[in-house]
Amino acid sequence: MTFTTGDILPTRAFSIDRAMLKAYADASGDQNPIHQDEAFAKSVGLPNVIAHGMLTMALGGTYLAELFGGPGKIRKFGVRFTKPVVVADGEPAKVEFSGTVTSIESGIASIELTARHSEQKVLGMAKAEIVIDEPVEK
Amino acid sequence: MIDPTIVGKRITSTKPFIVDQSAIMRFCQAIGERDDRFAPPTFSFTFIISAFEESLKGAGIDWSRMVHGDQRFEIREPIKAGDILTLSSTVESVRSAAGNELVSVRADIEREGKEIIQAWSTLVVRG
Repeated sequence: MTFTTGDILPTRAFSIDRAMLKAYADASGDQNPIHQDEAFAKSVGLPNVIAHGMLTMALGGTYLAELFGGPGKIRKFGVRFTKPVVVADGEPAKVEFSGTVTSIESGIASIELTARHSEQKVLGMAKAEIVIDEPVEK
Repeated sequence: MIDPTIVGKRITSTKPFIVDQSAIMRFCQAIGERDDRFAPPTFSFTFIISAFEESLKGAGIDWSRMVHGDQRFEIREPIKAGDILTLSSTVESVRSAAGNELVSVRADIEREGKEIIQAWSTLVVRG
């Protein structure tokens, strides 16, 4: 796949369920109960369990890696966590990623990433720089 | 209030640690990443966060009110299995905004003496 400045990247939706939160907690070591324990989450004023912000960011990385030849191509990646992604039991939350190629220079594509959940942006100022001039190794 | 004298505090991991393929695979599986030749770009946060907690110890932070405000990575070379890494953590700033307290921390990750990743986090203590 080749890219040009101004390209709109294809949209991809990820489904975040409680099992994914448990798997991310175990893989990342972040066992904060607001991401797994509904009673605890509600006791600290949240509507329900919320996804780890770093999980949402990581899914953005997965989205970009698939389009650009693997996770090893990403050179810069930054986000603001603007809204929590609420994950009720038995109701997976859908997060939809899209993006725009804002420039291509010296073999680096600059991307503006959008992540939406329930019509709201859950990541702000989400930007990445990705190497595109190296052949994809198989 | 966060103790402002922690700004500039830097700690370095006392011993290097080795990146395990199984840790990369487990992380990839959790985030739907099928390509595990390299660690995903956010993988390093799994060990950075404990260095940040160490740096901020004794600064009067209420961790139960802490949320992650923003996160940024610069990756010169991605992490891969078998890498032997050292990690330093530096407190860059402490400030107040909109009734919250914000602390910015930076992590520097080296592999065999070469810096491969820098990561910046803003942690927000809700007022």
